[in-house]
Amino acid sequence: MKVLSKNITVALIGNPNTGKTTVFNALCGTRQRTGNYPGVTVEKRLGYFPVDDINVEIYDLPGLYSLHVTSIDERIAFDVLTGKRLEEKKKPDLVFYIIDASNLKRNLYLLFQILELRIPVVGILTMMDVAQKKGMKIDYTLLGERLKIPILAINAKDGNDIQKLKTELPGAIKKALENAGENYLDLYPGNFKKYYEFSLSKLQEVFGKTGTAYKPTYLDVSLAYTAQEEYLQYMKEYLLYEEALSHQEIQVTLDELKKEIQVIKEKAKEYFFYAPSQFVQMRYRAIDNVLRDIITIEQLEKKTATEFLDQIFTHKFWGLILFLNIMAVMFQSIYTWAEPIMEFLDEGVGALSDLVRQSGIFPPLLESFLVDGVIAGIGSVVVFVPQIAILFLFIAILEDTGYLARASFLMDKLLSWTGLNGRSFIPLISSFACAVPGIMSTRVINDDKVRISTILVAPLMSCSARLPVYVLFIGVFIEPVYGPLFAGLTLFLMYSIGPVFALIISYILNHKILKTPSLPFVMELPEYHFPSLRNVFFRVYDAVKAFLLRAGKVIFTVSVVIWALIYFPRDEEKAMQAHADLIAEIETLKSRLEAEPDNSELTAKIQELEEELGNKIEAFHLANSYLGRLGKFLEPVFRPLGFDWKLSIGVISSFPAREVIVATLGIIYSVGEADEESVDLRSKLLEEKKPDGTPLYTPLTAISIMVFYALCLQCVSTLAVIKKETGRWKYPVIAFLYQTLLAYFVALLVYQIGKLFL
Amino acid sequence: MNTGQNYITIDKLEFEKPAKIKEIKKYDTVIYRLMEMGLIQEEMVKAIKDAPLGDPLEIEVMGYKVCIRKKELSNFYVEEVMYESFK
Repeated sequence: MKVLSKNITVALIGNPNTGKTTVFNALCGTRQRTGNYPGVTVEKRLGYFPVDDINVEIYDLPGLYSLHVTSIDERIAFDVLTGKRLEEKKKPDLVFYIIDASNLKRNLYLLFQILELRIPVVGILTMMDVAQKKGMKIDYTLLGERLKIPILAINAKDGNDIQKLKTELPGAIKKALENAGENYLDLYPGNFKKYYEFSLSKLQEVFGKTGTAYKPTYLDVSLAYTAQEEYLQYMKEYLLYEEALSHQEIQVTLDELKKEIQVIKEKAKEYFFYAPSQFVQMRYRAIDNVLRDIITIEQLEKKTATEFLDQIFTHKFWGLILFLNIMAVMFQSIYTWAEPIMEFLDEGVGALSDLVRQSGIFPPLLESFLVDGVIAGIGSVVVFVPQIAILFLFIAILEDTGYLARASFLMDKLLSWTGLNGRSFIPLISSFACAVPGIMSTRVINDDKVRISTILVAPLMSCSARLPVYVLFIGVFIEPVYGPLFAGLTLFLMYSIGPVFALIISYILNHKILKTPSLPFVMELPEYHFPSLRNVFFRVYDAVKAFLLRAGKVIFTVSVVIWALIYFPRDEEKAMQAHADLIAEIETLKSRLEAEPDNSELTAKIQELEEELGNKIEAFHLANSYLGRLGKFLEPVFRPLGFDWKLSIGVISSFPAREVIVATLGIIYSVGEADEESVDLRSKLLEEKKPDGTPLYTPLTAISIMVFYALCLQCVSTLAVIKKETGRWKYPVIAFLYQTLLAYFVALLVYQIGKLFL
Repeated sequence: MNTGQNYITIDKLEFEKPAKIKEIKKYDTVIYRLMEMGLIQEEMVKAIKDAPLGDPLEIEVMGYKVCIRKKELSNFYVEEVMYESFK
């Protein structure tokens, strides 16, 4: 009998939609951390709560239907349960298994797999109210006796029940630990029991010889039989990374394993089963046995609220209409609620900058560093928070109520041909507002391959930062020449280019490039229920915190680096020399002013000229900065697209953040602070002439540059978030490279082909 | 493999007509997963409706509702039954 120690580690596991997260949040409150398991996209949630005098450390594993090693979620869960992912490489002391009472049979499948691992289990039965509404009465005491695990029944949403859970847990934990070592194979038919014993001894022989710490369990038997390839691959990686065996030792072990697995498969024929599917049938037969007389139907099942609501929500016509409305509302709120907050933040940043500037206590270098580097950097991180918060608020509510599954059901066909599925729809649509929260919301996609390809195409959706670019160039070059109708059409076209390429690229990614196996698209439609405010709050809080801490650092750093590239080198003398004439003119006027102090026309003229001097000097500094020199250096690269060196500088400067191009062009053309509506900037662009006197910018140039912006990934925040969500640097690098190449070549094609016609 | 005359695949089932799974056409990891979700032999299923664009199909099995693409469901052969015996 195991002595109850002061600290225990628990793995929390169960099917999706069982209220597992509600239990986790209710037990741990704010004492929880979210992160990623190293190098993978799976979320790691760790929480703490006290029970009597025991400190419980609890790992919330992803919701699963079964433990394989084919999908990344399952591999991580298997890793945690076999001790590979925890501190000191020990197995969890206990498993808390969440059972959905209204769905008992299927829920017990995963439980049986966990019992095969022989870890002590405490069963927590949730959704009793749903079961009741379906007219079911469950004798869970008897069920617990048959399974030989303690089962506590609660209503996860009820605060009192959570209290009750906490008081009953110590007893349940003790009881579960007493049963440790219980051989659950007695639940299985006799011949399977014998077969499992035999097969396990074979596997143990192999691992015994290697001298590794790995102890195979009964579950290993069914994994090796039903998913041999993946199991061997899993073992190979484990032995390589965790046990640091040499390649030769690993090869020997794998060969032995393959031999023994053949033996195991041959032996199965002795027991009259040939197909891996027998494992599934056998477990469900055992479940049927255990469930005999457990569930009694008290009354004839009447239509539940869910069935009633689904008549509308998944209705062929009304369901779609409703869905489109919900999407529209979501979008609208991002603009209505996020915009004012973002403007407020912008103003705050501006005020802070002004404060620093006006204080006059900093030398110019330090002042610029603080204002344009640090403060601007912080501003560029913080500005995303409202959008992330609002988007996650919506997604959390949609998911908690159960509606998200319906939305995926409606949209799946649209996306399935590309290799994506219905769950990708909302993350992709959200990316039209901003790819940062859109990519973060790919959490709702449980298939790793689909999640990664969704993340890689999300930045192609025309986000709101591209709009100023479109507005500027359409407003200057398209509308005056071709009229507002054409202008509108061009805008629509620019918005559509992204999604069209996104679908094509998804297709290529999923069918030709990404090698992970496909999972079937299986989407459970849970019962509708009111969203838990606590769950929703934690979802939003988690997302914002994770973004600020992880993506925030990267974005801030890049901001400062870009500032340096624009600021240095700064030769004040040379700048003055280059504008000697203008300076002389101002001096002349100033000396005249001394003679005529009241001449307001003169004063105004001086002010005008001084402003012009300031702008021209800024333009000079930018052109001579490292960034400026880079732009000029790269001009030949961009010339086939129709850009000149000034536009090249603009493009390079906007790689960290798209909308910067407008402000940069304002500086280059010496109009001072400019935005896309700025009349001065617009006229300057129109006036620009090539050496031969013809206009530099034509409608075709405008289209070329807009196409470039539509497709290019110019957003360091997006790159930072891709890294954060995938856990690897290779994905943001891939995204950046492929999109830059795509943007370049498509813009090139457009410009060169356009030249032939226009 | 015996496919009796009254066996059709789940994706061809008329809506709201209960049926019992009789044969599973082939075995691969995709099918295996669907079996683990409850689509096993002798288990009752019912097709409820399809999505606006035709796919996927919402079905009821083992007492819960799930949507699965028709291509995957076409591997499961069922026999229509006269009465519903879900419980």
